Amino acid sequence: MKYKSLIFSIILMSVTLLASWTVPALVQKMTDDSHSYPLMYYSARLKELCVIDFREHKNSFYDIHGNEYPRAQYDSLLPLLNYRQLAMEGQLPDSLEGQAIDVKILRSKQVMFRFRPVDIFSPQPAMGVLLEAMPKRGNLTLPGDYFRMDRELTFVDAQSNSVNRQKSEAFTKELIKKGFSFPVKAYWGNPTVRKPYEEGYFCLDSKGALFHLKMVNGRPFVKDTGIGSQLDIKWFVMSETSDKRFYGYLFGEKGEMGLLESTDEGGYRFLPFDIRPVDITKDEISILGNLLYWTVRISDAEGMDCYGLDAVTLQSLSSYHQDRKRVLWDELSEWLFPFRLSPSSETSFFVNLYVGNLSSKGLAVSFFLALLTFFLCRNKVSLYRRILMALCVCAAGLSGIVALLFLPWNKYE
Amino acid sequence: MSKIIKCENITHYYGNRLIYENLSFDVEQGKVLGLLGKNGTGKTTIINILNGYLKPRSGVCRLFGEEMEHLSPFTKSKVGLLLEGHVQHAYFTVSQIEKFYSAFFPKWKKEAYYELLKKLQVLPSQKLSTMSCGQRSQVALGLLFAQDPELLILDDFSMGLDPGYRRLFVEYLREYASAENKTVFLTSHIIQDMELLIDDCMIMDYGRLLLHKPVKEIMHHFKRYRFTRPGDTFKLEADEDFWHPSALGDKWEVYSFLPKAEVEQRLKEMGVTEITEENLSLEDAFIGLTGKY
Amino acid sequence: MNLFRALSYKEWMKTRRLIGVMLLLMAAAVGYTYIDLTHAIRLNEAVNVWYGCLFQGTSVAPWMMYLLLLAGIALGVVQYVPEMTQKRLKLTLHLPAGETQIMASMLWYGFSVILLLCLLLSLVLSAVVRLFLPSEIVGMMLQQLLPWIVAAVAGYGFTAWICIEPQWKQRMLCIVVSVGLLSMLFVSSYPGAYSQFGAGIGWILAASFIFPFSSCIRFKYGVQ
Repeated sequence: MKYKSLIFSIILMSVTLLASWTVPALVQKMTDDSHSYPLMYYSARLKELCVIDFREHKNSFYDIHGNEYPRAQYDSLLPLLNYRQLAMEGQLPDSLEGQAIDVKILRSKQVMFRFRPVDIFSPQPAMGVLLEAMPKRGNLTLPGDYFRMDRELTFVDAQSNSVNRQKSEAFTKELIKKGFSFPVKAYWGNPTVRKPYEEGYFCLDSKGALFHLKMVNGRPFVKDTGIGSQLDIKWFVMSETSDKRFYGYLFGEKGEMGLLESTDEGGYRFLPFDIRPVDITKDEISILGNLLYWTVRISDAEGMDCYGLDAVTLQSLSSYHQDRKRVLWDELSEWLFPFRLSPSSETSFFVNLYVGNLSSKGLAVSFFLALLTFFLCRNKVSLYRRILMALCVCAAGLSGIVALLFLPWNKYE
Repeated sequence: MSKIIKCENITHYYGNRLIYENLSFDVEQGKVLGLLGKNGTGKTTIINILNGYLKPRSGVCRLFGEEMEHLSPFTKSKVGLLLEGHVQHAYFTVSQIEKFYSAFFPKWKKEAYYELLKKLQVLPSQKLSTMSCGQRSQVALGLLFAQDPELLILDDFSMGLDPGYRRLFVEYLREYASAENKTVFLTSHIIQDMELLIDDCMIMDYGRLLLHKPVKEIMHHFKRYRFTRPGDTFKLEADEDFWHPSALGDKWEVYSFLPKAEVEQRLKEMGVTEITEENLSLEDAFIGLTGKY
Repeated sequence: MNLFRALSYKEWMKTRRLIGVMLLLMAAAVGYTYIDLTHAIRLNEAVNVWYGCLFQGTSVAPWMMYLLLLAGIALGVVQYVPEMTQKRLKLTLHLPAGETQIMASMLWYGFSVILLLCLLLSLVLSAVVRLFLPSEIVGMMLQQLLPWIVAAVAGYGFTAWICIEPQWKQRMLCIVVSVGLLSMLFVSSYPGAYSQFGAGIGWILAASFIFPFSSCIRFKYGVQ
């Protein structure tokens, strides 16, 4: 049989790669701990960001300067977070900072947003659905057709599984008339009927202009937002919130993040957040907003940045940084593995061969293990195999050793 | 005469158990060589090594001058192989298996195959898996004849065959080998069959080759001698001339290649007066050479 | 080519029944998809069925995940278990041709069969699904099928690797490695999740083709 050595090397390398996935994954399962950050919230009473971690400190919470507050004051010091509880107890104040409040107002002004890099790195819907923005009856319903958007806008009727020419032409014509330049780069909407109202889709045309597209009374509504000229748009997340203040969250190529707001004149405005540049391929973002203040949290593999922003201007009032907590797994993996391979990633939905946890300490340890392997196996296998085995251990550390256990060891072969 | 098989210094172990050490032998063209040995002396192991299905710890075998591990297709086409138990691809029918093998051998002799099978009342549509061991042995033999190889390697051809089929197999094989100057290397545990068939004989013992001689030489010279012991203290030890002396009561027997006169001479020195010489069948000779146990 | 044709005859004799069964099963699967889809459309209306497929990742043919892999493994078993019972592989390798070519031909036969079956099934399934659903959803379905088809093909190769391996202990280790490599193809079943896994797919397929040769080498060495 030809290519004996080559075949052995390929098996050894494959099994080593496989072990570089499974062994670290198992060790991680055994030694990993939660990396989650405490709940952060900008207190309207204290005018400061609060750090709330009742798992760690059962009976108190802190502001970012380390001032301690008893848990009993949790509701009253954070009234906009805990307004429901306060309302239930009849403790909700009538006004805050000169603004009248009640449960209804607070609920309509409440903002919750969460973004993860996975949202970008995942298969995007192949088609979109344009709901009637002004339904005759109150609730939103599926229109019975779906659209595809590439070099034109085409509506396909579901029941007959055929293209609705008339509607497609009407919408495509309207888009072109308003200056839209096909093919479309991306389009973002919120394809669900479980939302308070419909704002359709925002579509990025081939020249980078952002258009607003919706269906009103069965007819197309298209408007150039003009934002494309101010901002190199990377991503948009549609958010039809109940107070209709804004359409969603816009992300620029240079790390800008802001709201796409509707102006009183029916126009569009980009209102940036006063925060550090955001890398949406790596950063997780969460926003908890209320009538007066928004708390924005951005975290990546290194740590977490948190900002308390003014709800109207989105200017920063306070900020806080916390490094990522190191757990046993972080310490161990550094020494045990020079690298790890994984088919999945925290920042992407796509299956791929992700290489991570590169470590020079791990490489040093595996070099030592490789020498050990080389000398311990001197009577067991041929020199060629011994060199190969040592190389695998050197490259993969502990994973390489495990890989060796899966291969036949016979020096007479 | 050219050497078709040449094995040099074969040493092999199963784990730590020695099978043989420095085993060397060769087989000349046109010879029918039988490999005999008790169970577990490594007969099948040799066949496996010969065909390259087992790598010995050391040593090399050559078939037609080629190393067993890297037999060329041409050499393989010159070697016919019968596996232990007449194993064949049992999912074929009689005609399908012929069709399958014919594609591989340019000089395939279809008639030879069907001629043999015609005599045996085997239908071409019969599936091998439904056949008896005897019928399968004929299919396997037919395939070998059709392949018309220069060297036949047969591993325990008598296994599972009743006496009729065994005799049939041997007769066909002998006819084939002698008519076409073929070389045959075979093992069997039924030695009676071999007597009719083989020219040379290799007898294996545990860990070594005991003997490699023409059968005729064994049959002519290897004899059993019986005698009555001369006294209670009489004891005969085995040596290079006396094989496996044994006693039942006061009756002794011993095997030897020595002529009768020489045996008489040697035993007389020990006080034995009267000995009888007996001719042996190959089976008896085998037992004489390897011992009963 | 001649060798491939001659050996394929033997492989065909071993596998033709199984191939027939697989074709029947696949026909049944396509038939079931047709019934299932028309049933769903009658009950839930087309628009909702489309919605589920487009936005919620509802699979048109979820059972294919197992069916294809099983087909690959079954083909491997049917092809190589008879070779290993009574060590018939010795007869095969003794045929007058290079051992590497013999092994490669047998493997190519299996890979071709399983690939053709998968392609045929994908084609027929696409045609049926296209009757009711748009090309986008057919595309999503095919994207979802991709890792499963790869698993079927690789599963066949790994089965060959496991079957031909002569030693039981090593065979167990082969099973573990095969399961590990195959499980990479089942990390996600969402349509399109494997659209960037080209390198990984190449690696797994190459491994499934190359690994059986190592078993064959060990068989030749007479490892027990």
